[in-house]
Amino acid sequence: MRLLERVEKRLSGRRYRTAGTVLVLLFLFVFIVGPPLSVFLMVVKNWGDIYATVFADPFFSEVGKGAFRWSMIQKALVRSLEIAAIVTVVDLIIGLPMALILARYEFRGKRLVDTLIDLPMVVPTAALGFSLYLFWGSVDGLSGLLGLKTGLASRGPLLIILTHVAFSYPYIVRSLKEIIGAVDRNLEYAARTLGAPPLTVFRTVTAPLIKSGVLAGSILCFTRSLGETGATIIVAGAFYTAPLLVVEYRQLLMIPPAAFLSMILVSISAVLLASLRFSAERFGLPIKGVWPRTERLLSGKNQRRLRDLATLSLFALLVLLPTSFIFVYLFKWWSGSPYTGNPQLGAFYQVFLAPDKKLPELWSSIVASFEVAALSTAINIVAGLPMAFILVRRNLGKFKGLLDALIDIPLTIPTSALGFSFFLFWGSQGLSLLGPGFWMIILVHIGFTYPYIVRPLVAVVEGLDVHMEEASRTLGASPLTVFRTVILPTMKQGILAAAIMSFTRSLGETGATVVVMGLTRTVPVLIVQWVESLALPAAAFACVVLITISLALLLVLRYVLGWK
Amino acid sequence: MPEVRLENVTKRYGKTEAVKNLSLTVYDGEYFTLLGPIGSGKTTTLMLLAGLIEADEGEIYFDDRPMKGVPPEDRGVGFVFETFALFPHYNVWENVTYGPRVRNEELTSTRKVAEEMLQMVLLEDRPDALPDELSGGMKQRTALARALTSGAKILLLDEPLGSLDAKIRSALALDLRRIVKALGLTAIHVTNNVEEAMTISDRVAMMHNGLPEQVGLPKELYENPKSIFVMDFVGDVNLFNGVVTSSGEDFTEVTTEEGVPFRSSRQSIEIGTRVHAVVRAEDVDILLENEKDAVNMLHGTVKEKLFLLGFTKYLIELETGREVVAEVPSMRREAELRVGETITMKFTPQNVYLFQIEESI
Amino acid sequence: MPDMRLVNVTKRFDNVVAVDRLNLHVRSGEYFVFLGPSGCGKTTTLRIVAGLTEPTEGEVYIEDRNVSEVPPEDRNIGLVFQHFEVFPFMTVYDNVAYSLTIQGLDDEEIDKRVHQTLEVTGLNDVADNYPNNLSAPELQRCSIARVLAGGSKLLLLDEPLGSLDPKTRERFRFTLRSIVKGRGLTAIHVTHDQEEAMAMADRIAVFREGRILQVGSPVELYERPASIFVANFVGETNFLEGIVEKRERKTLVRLRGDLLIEAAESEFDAGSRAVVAVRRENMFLSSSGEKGVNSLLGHVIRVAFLGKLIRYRIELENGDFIEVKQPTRTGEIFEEGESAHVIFSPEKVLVYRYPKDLFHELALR
Repeated sequence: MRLLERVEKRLSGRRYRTAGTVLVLLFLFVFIVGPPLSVFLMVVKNWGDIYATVFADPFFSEVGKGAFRWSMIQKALVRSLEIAAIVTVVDLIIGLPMALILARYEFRGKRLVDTLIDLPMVVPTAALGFSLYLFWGSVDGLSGLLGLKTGLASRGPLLIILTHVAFSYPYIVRSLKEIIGAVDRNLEYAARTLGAPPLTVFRTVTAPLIKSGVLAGSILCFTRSLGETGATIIVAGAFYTAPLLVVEYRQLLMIPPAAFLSMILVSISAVLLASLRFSAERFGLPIKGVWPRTERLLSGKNQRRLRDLATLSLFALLVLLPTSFIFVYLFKWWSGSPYTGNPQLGAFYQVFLAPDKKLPELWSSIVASFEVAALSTAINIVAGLPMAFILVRRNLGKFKGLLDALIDIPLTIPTSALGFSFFLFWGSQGLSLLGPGFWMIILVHIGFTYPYIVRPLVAVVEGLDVHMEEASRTLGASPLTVFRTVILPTMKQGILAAAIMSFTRSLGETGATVVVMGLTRTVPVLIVQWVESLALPAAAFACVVLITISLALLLVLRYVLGWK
Repeated sequence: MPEVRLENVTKRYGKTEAVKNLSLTVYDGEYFTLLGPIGSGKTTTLMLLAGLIEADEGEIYFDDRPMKGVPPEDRGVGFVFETFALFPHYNVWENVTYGPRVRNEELTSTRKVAEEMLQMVLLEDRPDALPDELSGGMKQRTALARALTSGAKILLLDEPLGSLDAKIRSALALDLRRIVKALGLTAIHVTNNVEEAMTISDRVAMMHNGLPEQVGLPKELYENPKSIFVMDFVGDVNLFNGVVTSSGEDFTEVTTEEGVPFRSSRQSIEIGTRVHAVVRAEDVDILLENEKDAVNMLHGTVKEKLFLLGFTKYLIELETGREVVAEVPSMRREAELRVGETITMKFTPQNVYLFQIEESI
Repeated sequence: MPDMRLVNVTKRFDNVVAVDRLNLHVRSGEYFVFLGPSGCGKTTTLRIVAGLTEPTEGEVYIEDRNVSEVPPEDRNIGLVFQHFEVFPFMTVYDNVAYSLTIQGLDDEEIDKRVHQTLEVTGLNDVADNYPNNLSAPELQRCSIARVLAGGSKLLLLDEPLGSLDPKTRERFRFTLRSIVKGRGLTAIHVTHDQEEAMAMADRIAVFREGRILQVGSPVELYERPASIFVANFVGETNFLEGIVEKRERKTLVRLRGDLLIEAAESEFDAGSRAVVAVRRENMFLSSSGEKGVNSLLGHVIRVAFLGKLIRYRIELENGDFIEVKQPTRTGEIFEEGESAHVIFSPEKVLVYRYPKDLFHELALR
């Protein structure tokens, strides 16, 4: 045997396996789960300060003289929850029919529609917020077309809802599409031949089988809306939601209330995560009542066409057009103001020609974004791959559920709270190893992209053909040799896909980065800054650059995966 | 008990034609089987009949009623799937009564019919069981009862026995036929299992590349195959290539590539035509004593011997090097040869089938 | 040519006993078949031999060496799977060379052995192809070649012909057996197809619910099945219920409807409830024949024309149902509705004690 195989054989031994597992779990606890959970510790440690600033220190605010910060915090939480609920309902209503269309029909242009649905996922959250603001809230957008003098929805709760609806749409459609796709088509065929028109088939056969999936998708949608920070920063204006409040406290260096609010947000996320796992089976749908005549009427071909048209129109109006509007805006404002013609107000001037031209800043932030994305992705691939194997192959019993939940923690916590917990953990309040800046951004992105890598890798590992590995063993290969010669080549595509997903997410991350940045700026952060300083055309340019890069990556991803 | 007719039906998926210009008639009350290898368009045909997909061209008639545009729920067909397709969230009773319930039919008559059907398929004692508590055979019987309870007059079966163990399969096959005949239904059954098709059917359509290569009674398909494909499907065949050297009113003589003379009394083919000469393994007689005749005779050595139930199968290597398969009933003395023995084989002119070469298997 | 021994091997999965105190000796150079219905433990047992599954109790010996603690890569076995498991990202050549590469042989040696193996398995023409360009039979030969090249002498096959269509499957039986015998290997082949087992095996072990019911050659299993289950599972058999009577030294059985038949000698006492079994090929139809011992009258319910043989379903005069398989070219041919005498000789009639659950024995649920 050659040296390589001999080493692999040695390292396949039980002791090394255990050591490796311990390392992987350690990574999880220190770099991923530790910071968010440590918030609780911080709160306990600093309870005195927290009590003072949140509950006991009266201050002037819009709530009135002598109110406590606690009421502000409460208000923010309630708002966030309300918005999340509304968004979830709307997304379910417009997303479910779309998922049905994608899962069950074949038509020309389906590939295109499928790709377009992913658009909000590809657009970095700050850019998304900006584009939506321009579409709904500025004269350059929809209201201009309609001849109005002001925006249809100014910055505030309505705009936030519209933004969250667009932002969550692809997630809900994708997960519903998968769930519907998992239903055996023959069941629906059988029901048809037994005399049930399509709507009755949906109600009596498909719906009961997808209900747990729909519930899971809804909880996920709710959680995402609850935690959205990056886009919300741009469209909220003076209105504040809970995640935004965390950002504000952090920027004002009011650590104790920030910590307290973060803790509450982490707790809510944990509760939602737990409910995701336990609630699924219990809720039912009316199957008893039979309305064959009505359902038969509504199942007709023309009715179906109308429904499909409505679904596609809503998608276009609420998701596609607003998300892509930034391109239109940039085009309008490229060489100057479309109203006055002043070239100094144009994007081209602002970025390339002005004395304080934005180009160098943009360039260094692009470099920074790429560095952060590349490093965090690479580290997570190395740490996440063994974790995926542990989840799928090891017999963990009860611990599997716990481990699953822990891995999802960064997904569910609002990004600003996540960023803040890292700020506490690694910074002067915790381990005092780092200050805000480039390395802390990397650590945050490692924490935040971890689930985006582990989840798809888990899917790939689950899809591996165990028999092929067994064949390899019987041909003389030790487990590590099997990994190198059989498993890795098979997983290549999947690993690349996970890496691209994680990289793209990292590029677009805003909320957490804003909290931990020092002097380094990533592109999304730059966009936020430029929007706040009203250099809108320049911000639009940065958005378009970032979106283009992300889109290109998405297309590469599609190419790598073939077409599913 | 309707008659089912397909006329020039074509169905395309992209550029491939899954079913091309298919015309078939299934008589009222017939048990009709589509037999063919996997992927020959059989399932697509059933889906077209059920209305689950629409044909691109052609017409389908149930008793002269055109079915174009008629949705599946209005066609009165029962469909039994290979994977059973039992609703996992309903128990046996709810599955079986789904059809009538969904059409809001009267509860008491539904109950009666359902109980009757469950009895017929021997499942009356487990109405509360969920599908995942049932064995494969039970699942299939539930699926059958469900299709029957919906009042269908046409039963479409897509490899209904494919996923079952061999023993259960043969037991259920006869049950299927018995029930269909008792209820007077028209049944169209799809399978790639020859024995199943031959046992259960009135008529069989042998499918090849989406078209029925031959339709007829099982016996006809065996005794008068129209092509090598059909011939090869039932049992083993020995294929020789040759040229017609002489022919008369009721015979044709062929010399094979190996130089052996064959004589067939089945048809008359023009001299000079290139033909395939095919002899079935069970029609190859092994001679215990030498005969003088030179026509329809082969010499070789026994290379392999396999015991099948009731038959012994020999693999014989000819002097030319090619191999020939012969099957002999176990009770005969010819079944006791040993590997390595040299033997002489002969077959009658009636058993030499000739096919002109332009065909491919 | 290694031999293989299982000593008191048991495997439990949670509460289910998949393999129950198995003792078995597969002889050197044998083509041995594990036969049984799905879920009977035959595949689990094979995996225990391979080392892919650890037994809960018991030991495995290969060539007198206790390999119970030895991982699969060190047992020097070859395993062929139903779905081939050919590495899709390697050419046929590389697949076949795989185990030699792991062993660290030098390129010349590898090339020699690979070409030799490709020759034997008829894969020379497709050596540079990738698996997605191969037909199912070619894939099967590739997975066999891959195992042969490694040089292991104990070949384990898990439903190796299961993914082939019926015609190819039959032809492959010849091929597979001659490869094994030609190279002096010991083979253990798992299948649920009793025809396959009977055609290929030197000896067969019939599995059921984790136990081995009988081990024997195909002929032994056919002529002397040890239980009703084996008589039903292997080959095709007619079963009739009755009560044993003894007259002189003959064993007679009185069936329903007062029909009397003579059976092969048995040790059952007069008066015991029994089940008699006759292979369907051992019964014959005749239009002549008197009613008497071992000539039963019935009428034909269904004729199934199967080419070289015809299968008749007959309802006997006492209401029992049987099936008879006759070669088409011997004997008379009957039509549906006709009456016929069913004739069979006493030595072919086996007698079994009536079991507690006949349906369970016949595996008819």
